[in-house]
Amino acid sequence: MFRFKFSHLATVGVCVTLLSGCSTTRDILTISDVKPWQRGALAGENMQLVSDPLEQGVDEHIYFSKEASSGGARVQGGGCGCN
Amino acid sequence: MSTLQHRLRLAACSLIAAAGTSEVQAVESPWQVDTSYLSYTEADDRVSVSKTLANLNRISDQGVVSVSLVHDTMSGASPTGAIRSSDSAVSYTSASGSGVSAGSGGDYSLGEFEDTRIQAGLGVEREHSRGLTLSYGGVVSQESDYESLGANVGIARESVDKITTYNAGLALTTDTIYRSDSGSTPEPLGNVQQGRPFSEGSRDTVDGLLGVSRVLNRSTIAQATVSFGLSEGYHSDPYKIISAADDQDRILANFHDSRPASRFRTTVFGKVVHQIKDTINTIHLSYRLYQDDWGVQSHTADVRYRHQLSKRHYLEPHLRLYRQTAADFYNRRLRVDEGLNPILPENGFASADYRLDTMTSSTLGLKYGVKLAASTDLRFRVEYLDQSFSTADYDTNSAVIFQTSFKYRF
Repeated sequence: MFRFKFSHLATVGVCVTLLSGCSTTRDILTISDVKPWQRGALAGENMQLVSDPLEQGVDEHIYFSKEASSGGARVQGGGCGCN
Repeated sequence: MSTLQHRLRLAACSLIAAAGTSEVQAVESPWQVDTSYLSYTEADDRVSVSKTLANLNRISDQGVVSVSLVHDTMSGASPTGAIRSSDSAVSYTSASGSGVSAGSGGDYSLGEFEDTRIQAGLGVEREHSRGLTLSYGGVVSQESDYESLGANVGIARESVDKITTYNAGLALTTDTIYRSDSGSTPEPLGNVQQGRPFSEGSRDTVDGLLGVSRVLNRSTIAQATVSFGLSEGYHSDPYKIISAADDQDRILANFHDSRPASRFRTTVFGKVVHQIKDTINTIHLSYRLYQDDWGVQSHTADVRYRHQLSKRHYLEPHLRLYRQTAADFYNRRLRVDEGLNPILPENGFASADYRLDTMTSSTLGLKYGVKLAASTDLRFRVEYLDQSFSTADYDTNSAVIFQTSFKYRF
């Protein structure tokens, strides 16, 4: 049975990044003065730093219980005796 | 019309539109409820979790008040840390009637368990003055062998031009840990057959965070945070054991998990959210570097791409890559000397918990979202988690995660 491996996915990730072209990377890294009336695109739900808080909370809990690392984006407290 | 006049007109229009939106939000849909059901199922009948969640938000001009509830039911079998071998000179039994029992036969490398967890949280976010937002909250969690109580405060300051936001946060957590069968914790590194029960374990944790987010351009926002966590108290896992075995993996004794009484964690996190040019598709990229004084260092990369199929429908592929080094005191087994006596670590710390082993992990997922009405969203996602461990006896773990969520504003 085929199993996903880190190396496979890393390769896919690198390929996707390369295929997406340099223009997107350039667009991301371009720093410009943004006036209030130019922020329409930034107001959307999908442009929020946390676009789905419910999903983020669940993911944090899963990885907290399955890996040795935790934290990063926010502090909220709370723990569990997860297996 | 001059450029300046044109911009002023646009600015006036946007301000009116923004104020109108805010008012409509405050009057027409101040409540938002987001509910979700999730199933997490590991391969080979290992851990299975059913999770039900509900978040209720009350949005007003002054801020947001949110209440969250979580209910988990967990069951299955989790690796105990014991060597996966039926050739054992000792037996391992757990108290009858407990929620956790050893595997059948001579192989007790898996411990069966069954538990329920409930969690409740309250959060308040309030704009104290122009550009200054304060937040505070609390969370309480209870299961048959673990209690957790947490509180957090945060502050966010927006620059005058609203381009940059600085934020800081602090969280305090106090946990109580015990075995569900005995109500106590076993003596760390005590022989399982002779181990003395201690009182219940307790652990206090303080987490702190400093962050900044900035609008880079019309379609990009970036975030960077540095955080730390210091915990003091009982860190061992009362159910995990480590075997002392010879080179043929014949188990001669088992010892309870034993970890240091403190842990200091540091994290650097960065994220970029970008809307692809000439589209309404967005990409979320993040990276986290984690390090602690147990010797664990990890790298996490995460990418989500939301592709809008139409104004109402979207697809969101997700890829997460993770790798970590092992904790200094992680060992698959304890060695024995020529007289077959276990060689215990000098510092007294030893754990065979597979989660402290060198690990690579990857998650591949897909989410579908649909806006059923102006105030109603539905999301489905399925993810596949695959973990590989360096030396642990159970050297792989995989799970399928399915989640369906429903959001309603009223």
